[in-house]
Amino acid sequence: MFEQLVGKLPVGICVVNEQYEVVFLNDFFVDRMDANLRKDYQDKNVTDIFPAQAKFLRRRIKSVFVLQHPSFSYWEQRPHIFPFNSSRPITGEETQMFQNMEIVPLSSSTHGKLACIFLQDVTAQASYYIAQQELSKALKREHEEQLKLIKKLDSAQSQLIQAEKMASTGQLAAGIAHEINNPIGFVSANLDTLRQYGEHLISIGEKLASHSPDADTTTHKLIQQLLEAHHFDLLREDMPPLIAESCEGLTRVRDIVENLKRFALEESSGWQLLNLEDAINQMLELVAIQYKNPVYKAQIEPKGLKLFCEPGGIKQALMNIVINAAQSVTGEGFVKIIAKQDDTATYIKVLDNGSGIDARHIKKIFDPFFTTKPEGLGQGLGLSVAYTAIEKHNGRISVNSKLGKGTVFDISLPLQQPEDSDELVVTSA
Amino acid sequence: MNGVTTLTEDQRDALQELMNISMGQAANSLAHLIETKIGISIPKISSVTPPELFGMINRSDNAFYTRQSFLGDIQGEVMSVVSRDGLSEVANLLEYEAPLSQSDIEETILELSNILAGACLAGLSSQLELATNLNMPTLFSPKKASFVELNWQHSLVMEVQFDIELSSFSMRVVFCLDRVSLEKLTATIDELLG
Amino acid sequence: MAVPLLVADDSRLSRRSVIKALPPELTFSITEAVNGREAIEHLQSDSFKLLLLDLTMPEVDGVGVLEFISTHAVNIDVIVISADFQPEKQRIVLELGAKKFIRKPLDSEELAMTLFELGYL
Repeated sequence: MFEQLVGKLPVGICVVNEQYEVVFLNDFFVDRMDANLRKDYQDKNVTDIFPAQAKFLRRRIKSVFVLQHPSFSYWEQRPHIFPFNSSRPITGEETQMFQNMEIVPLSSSTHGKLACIFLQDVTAQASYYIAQQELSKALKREHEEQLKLIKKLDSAQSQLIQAEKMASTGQLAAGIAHEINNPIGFVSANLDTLRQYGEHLISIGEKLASHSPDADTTTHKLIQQLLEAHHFDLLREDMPPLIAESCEGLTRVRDIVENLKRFALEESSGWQLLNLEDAINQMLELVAIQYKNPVYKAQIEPKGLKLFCEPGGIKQALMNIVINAAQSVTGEGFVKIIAKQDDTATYIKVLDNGSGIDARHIKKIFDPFFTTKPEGLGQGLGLSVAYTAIEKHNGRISVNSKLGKGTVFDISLPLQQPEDSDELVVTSA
Repeated sequence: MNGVTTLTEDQRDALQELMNISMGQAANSLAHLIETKIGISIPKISSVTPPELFGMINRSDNAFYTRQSFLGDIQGEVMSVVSRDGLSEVANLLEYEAPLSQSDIEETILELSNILAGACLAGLSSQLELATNLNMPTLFSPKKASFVELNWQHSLVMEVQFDIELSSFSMRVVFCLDRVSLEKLTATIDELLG
Repeated sequence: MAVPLLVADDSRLSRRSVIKALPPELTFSITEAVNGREAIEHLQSDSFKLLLLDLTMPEVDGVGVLEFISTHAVNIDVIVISADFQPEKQRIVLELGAKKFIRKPLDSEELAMTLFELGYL
């Protein structure tokens, strides 16, 4: 009865002697062996029957004989010691059996010292465990992605707040620009008058100086003393250039304010015909005030090129691209805009010979909030705003760049016909 | 367990000697298998609280941990602390070939734990004529939190250390007994002393 | 005449079992040392014919005691009784001049046999 019982046990039992020869195998083993081996395993070396893990088996069996102490092996470290398949040959997926093994020392009067291998099929537990591990890995990955997303959202929020601030600052600037215009008007008018008065005063002084020897000695002396005391010579030389410089400065202030007003104040007021040449020139002047390194060039054909578009969006887009180009030029260099038109589209090219864009960044430059600038120096919105604006015009924007050589942005905007062009011709005033 | 587990000086001395003899047998077994000399320490017998046990186990970051339970006339758990240093040399002695895979390393740790803890327990059991069976060892990482949560105040532990000469390898084995087993153990020792 | 005997072992149980295992046909005058340092002190102050020596001891271990004996040319028969019976350890101990190595747990017959071989019985 016991023999039957051992034969039918749902664990593998393999008994070997000190020469590693098989003394006994139960059904669990025999059922899973090659047919030609089934009848002929007695007294064969166990590592000849199962050569796949021969070295390991020998080592472990030796350890049991030497130490007279059980030895264990787990599926986690060594999943498949014996080349058996899992228990579902027909319905289940045909997978290798995951095995736990225990070898225990035995002894018998006929065979002397023996080692008994117990083999457990733990495929079910193992696949469950592996599935759990994978699930937990997937969960962990998802969790990490969510964390990233949350971080991105956080930064997006603060960026939006920042953008909002910028927008209102722009409006503020435009408002201030308007207010500054008035004082600038009378200051420059007054200055011009002052210049004339100054000229008159200088000519009076000159005449006095040249005619004083003709006067009596007392008067002559008095005039000379007065002129010297007030450094007339210096004053005469210095006053005209001082006033001229001030006039120049005022003109510059007026230009800046004028540009700022034209450019920033202009809100999207629907589709209009834009004088692209004027817009580009104004923009370059504005950018040049802030970024002094590059030389700015514009090449627009034909002169007075016009574009039916949403001027606010297009100007903003060009502005952002040009600012990026200008920032990339650190030493000597140029930023150039080329614009032309054919029957189907308007083409705008912005070139620079600045630092260029790293190849691994190039795909991301139009992503919102992507920036390579140090924190606080860029919001990563400029090019994405540009992209959105171009897209709104059914246009295309593409970029080519070489690190250290420069960057070219290509924009093409398909021609759109104004419904009633006569009415809507506007310049950028 | 409530209250400090107290052993008389004679009981402690006897237990220490029994462990010493068991360790000698364990070391000899391993030495025989890997053909290298094993150094053994004087066993330490002490009564510890769970945090103290944690401190005892978790003395270094540079170690692997295993635990295995034993059942029979006395019951408890054995925890082994296996140094990372010198482990690859020991794996080579156990006939693993370099470079070692993660599985090779784990198998080496489990095998060493099983051999040394098993031989120690077998030695102790046979001297006291107690029957015990050691279960499979498993890897674990001790966490302070889970030790603090243990529902006993004091436990008797026996700590032994093995070193492999010519290598920086060392391994500590800590035996913990449950209360009933401890009573059984002290009664058996008293018989021996009597 | 009683044989002057030094028993060095840190375990009281072990010293007791050694003393209990001594053959009743012989009489000994027994001194006990609980570690290697104490054993060396006794060896310096008194003379013994026989030393039953444990190896794993605190302060100075059995190998240390054997080294003392060999460097100071102490005339004494040493029987090592130890749990650490690895072949390498036995070789070292015998090289240092121990007459015999006996495993723990101590078998009284083996001790008697050894004493016979050494001419005490």
